[in-house]
Amino acid sequence: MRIKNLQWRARVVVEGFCSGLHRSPYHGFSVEFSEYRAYVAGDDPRFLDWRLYARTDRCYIKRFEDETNLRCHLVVDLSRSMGYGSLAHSKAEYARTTAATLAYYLARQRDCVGLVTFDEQVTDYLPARFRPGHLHRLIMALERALGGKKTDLTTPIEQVARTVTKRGLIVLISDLLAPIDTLRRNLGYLRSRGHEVVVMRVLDPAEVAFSFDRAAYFEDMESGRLVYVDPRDAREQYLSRFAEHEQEIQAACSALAIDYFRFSTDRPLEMALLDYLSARTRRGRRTVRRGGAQGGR
Amino acid sequence: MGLLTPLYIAGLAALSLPLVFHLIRRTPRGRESFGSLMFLAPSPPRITRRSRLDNVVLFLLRAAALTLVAVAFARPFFRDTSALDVETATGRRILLVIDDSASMRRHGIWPAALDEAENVLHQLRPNDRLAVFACAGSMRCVWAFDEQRQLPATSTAAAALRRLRTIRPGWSTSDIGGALVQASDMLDAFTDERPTTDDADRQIVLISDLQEGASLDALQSYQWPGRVRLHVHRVGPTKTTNAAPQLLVDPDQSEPGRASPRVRVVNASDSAAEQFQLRWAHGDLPIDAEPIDACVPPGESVVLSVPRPAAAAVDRLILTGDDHSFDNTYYVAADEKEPLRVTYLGADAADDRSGPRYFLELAVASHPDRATHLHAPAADQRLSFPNEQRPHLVVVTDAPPTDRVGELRQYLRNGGTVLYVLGRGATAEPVSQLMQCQGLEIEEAAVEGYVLWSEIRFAHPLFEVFSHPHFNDFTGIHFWHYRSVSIPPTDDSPPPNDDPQGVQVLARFDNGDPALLHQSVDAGNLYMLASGWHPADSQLARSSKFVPLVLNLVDLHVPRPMKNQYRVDEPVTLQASNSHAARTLVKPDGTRINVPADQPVFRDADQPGLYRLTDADADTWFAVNVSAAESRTAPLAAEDLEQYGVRLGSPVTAEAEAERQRRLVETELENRQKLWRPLIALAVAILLGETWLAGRLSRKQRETPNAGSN
Repeated sequence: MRIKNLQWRARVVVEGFCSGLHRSPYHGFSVEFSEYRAYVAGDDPRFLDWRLYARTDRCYIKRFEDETNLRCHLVVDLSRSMGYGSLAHSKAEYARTTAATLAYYLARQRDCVGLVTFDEQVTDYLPARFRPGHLHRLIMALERALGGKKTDLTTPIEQVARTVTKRGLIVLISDLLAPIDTLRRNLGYLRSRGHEVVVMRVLDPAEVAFSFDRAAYFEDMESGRLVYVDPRDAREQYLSRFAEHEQEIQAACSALAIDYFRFSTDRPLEMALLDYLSARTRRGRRTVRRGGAQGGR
Repeated sequence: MGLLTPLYIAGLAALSLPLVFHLIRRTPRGRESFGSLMFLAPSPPRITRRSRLDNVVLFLLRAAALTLVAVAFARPFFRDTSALDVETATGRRILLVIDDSASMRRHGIWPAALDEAENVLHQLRPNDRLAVFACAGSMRCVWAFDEQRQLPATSTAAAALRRLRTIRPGWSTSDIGGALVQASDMLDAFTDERPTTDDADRQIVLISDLQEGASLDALQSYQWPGRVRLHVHRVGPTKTTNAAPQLLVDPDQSEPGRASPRVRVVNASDSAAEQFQLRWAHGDLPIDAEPIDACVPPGESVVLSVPRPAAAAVDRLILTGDDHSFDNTYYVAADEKEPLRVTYLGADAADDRSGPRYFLELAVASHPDRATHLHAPAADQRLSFPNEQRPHLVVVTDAPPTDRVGELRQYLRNGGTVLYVLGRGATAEPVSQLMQCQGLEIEEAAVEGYVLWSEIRFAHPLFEVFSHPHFNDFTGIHFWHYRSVSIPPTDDSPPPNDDPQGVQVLARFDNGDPALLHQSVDAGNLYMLASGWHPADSQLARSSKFVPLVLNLVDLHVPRPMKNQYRVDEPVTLQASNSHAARTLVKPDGTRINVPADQPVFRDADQPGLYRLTDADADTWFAVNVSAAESRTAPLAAEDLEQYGVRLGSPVTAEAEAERQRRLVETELENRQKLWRPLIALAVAILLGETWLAGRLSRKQRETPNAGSN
């Protein structure tokens, strides 16, 4: 986080772990062979394997794995609550770096990356593209100042579901410090559209452990509301409510086959991402296999 | 028990501060920003240990010290421990100034002024010091500070009042400014054996009508003493209309005793009427003539012609129609000019503009105070100078015959004045006879171009008026022809001899020849000009120096006529008497005063009217009138005095005075008892004890850290 330029920061993080750890959910025409299929009427004769036809006098269509057509949308929460940080950096900076790192990483693999930032409503939307300058625009949008008086998880997800029609990867980066009544329904709607959804929850260690020891007025960073809290009295209840809230999130994600990861801002980002990618790689192929069986383009 | 400054007791409210600080519920001052309060519930406020009083003894000690300090600042005293008396504690210095000028003669004012003075004197306390002055014209002491010592303290007021009732308003002019300056100086410098407790108790009480004409000029350059206050008691008439006439001196008046002199009528600005009548009178006898109406709006003045009755003599002008008569009569003495007789011995005619007579006649006719009669006898006419017809000045421009020289010589010996002009072709013989000089030579001087006057004796009375540098430039007067006069010194006159044979050279030409000579002949004076003033000889007649030179020559040797109009208290210049017998002056009220023959000035013209100075030769009349300033009777605002820096005192009610006296007694009691000193000392002692106790408790607390602190 000591590097001020977000793009450089993302590049440094990406170069910290290996690339190419995922597969495309689509079949395409690339160098990696997938399978042969018998020609049926209506197939494009361009994809016939003419060499095999010469040898066997039968028409087969040759299929390859498509490695370049991943469409990833990064949905990043930039509400005021993300501005909290008990360390040298805030949750927002951590989330921005995470999003930028993923975007840079995907762009290097020629994948299309889009961006949705939101607080109480969607503030920026960049469709998933792979073209020169797109990454720069995406990073500029990430550097927008924090705003909004509350965090609304419903509207951005609904808007992404309406806007993004092609299947792809949706990565939600947020602290999820908001009521999750509709979260389950909206995430399920995304999943039903065929999107693969990853939830990355960014939290400050002080929010996790509530490590305050002095009575004070606590000010809500979003609404400005003041509440007198004595941590000695309130910690137990806080931790209990926090755990209950997280369990509800995990339960929802688990039910929808959504990957849920909690990033603590005191953990180095490259390590956190490496953990995430490793876990994803372990499960990725199975998911790809299942997703690839649903058909090609 | 009393308190001198009870407001300081309010400081006891500070006692509640420690309690308030202790009992105030301490609220957290910290503030933490947090991402979301959705998991947090508000905590109930918690009462801390500091809300309880831990050490009551320390608190009581501090409260006691605060109480003592507050009470000490309130400056307490015991009322019954001292028998201090108001009368012995304080004393005022009062200088009562009563205005007895002419305007105080108005109806009803003087009794009111005496009533005011009585009120002031009745408020005198035995310890007060009093002086009374009357201030019209000059300050006159009625009752001095020192006179009080010879009387019992309680009878000062009555005695001063009796003295005050003996004076009456005069006719003098108010000089309130000068009176206040003198009074404040006297009061500021006054000291006696008793110290006063309050410097503000030096006060001037002025009882006056304070009319517009009262002069305040003396206050303009005066620094009013800070510890003297002025209390003005104004008195005024019930009716305010007042107007006064003044006869104007007409500088262009060519005819003495003009038939319609101009009169200015001044109406006071607070008058209610504007229609007045003017009429002439002689003594107490009214003149049978129609009065002249004068319409003068209030605050304005009007000048109008008031014709004298042709058939009767008049000596006063009387105005009617206003409420106050003190300034309604304007006295007029006979205004005939004294004659100035000049005899001219010359051949030129009066209308010959190239001859000297023409210019001489113009010059002497311009004398402001005299009516000039110039007589030019024929050459063969014998001169006769009887006493009553003797000329004041004889001017000779042509050489007289021998018998006429003898007559001139005799005229000189009898005190006459001769101006001898050496004309063209003048010879030495008649001049030698006239001057009784031996070896005198006169010849026509050869002049190249012109000569100027130089070496003028400005110390001589004739040239004294030209001695100022603005006027002593004679270089603009050119002389083209003159006669050279040489008078050889006699053997017995000591060298250096500037005045040969008793002849003074008053001016010389720039080549050293005498231009103007003077010789005293017994009681007479002979002046000899070496050149004529007419244009054929010089530019003297047409210069600005000629008229003053001739008039000065007349005034130098002819008694100055007496002025006949004066104001009250103005010094009257008396005409020198020819005889050595004492003169008698009769004042308007009939008082006769013997005036020595050599007394030049009469200073006792203290009432308006006609004064008669009886000499051996004749009676001389002069008129004295009330000053015009006294007729401006509209009241002056007392605040105008403040503009000159006078510190005015506010009127003091009986209650306020009693309260002030009570405060003075209390201040004196407190000053004597000084109870605040032991109270402060006790407070310091308590604070020392509190410090010791607090230190001990603090040490004990450090030694047992787990124990509760105070």
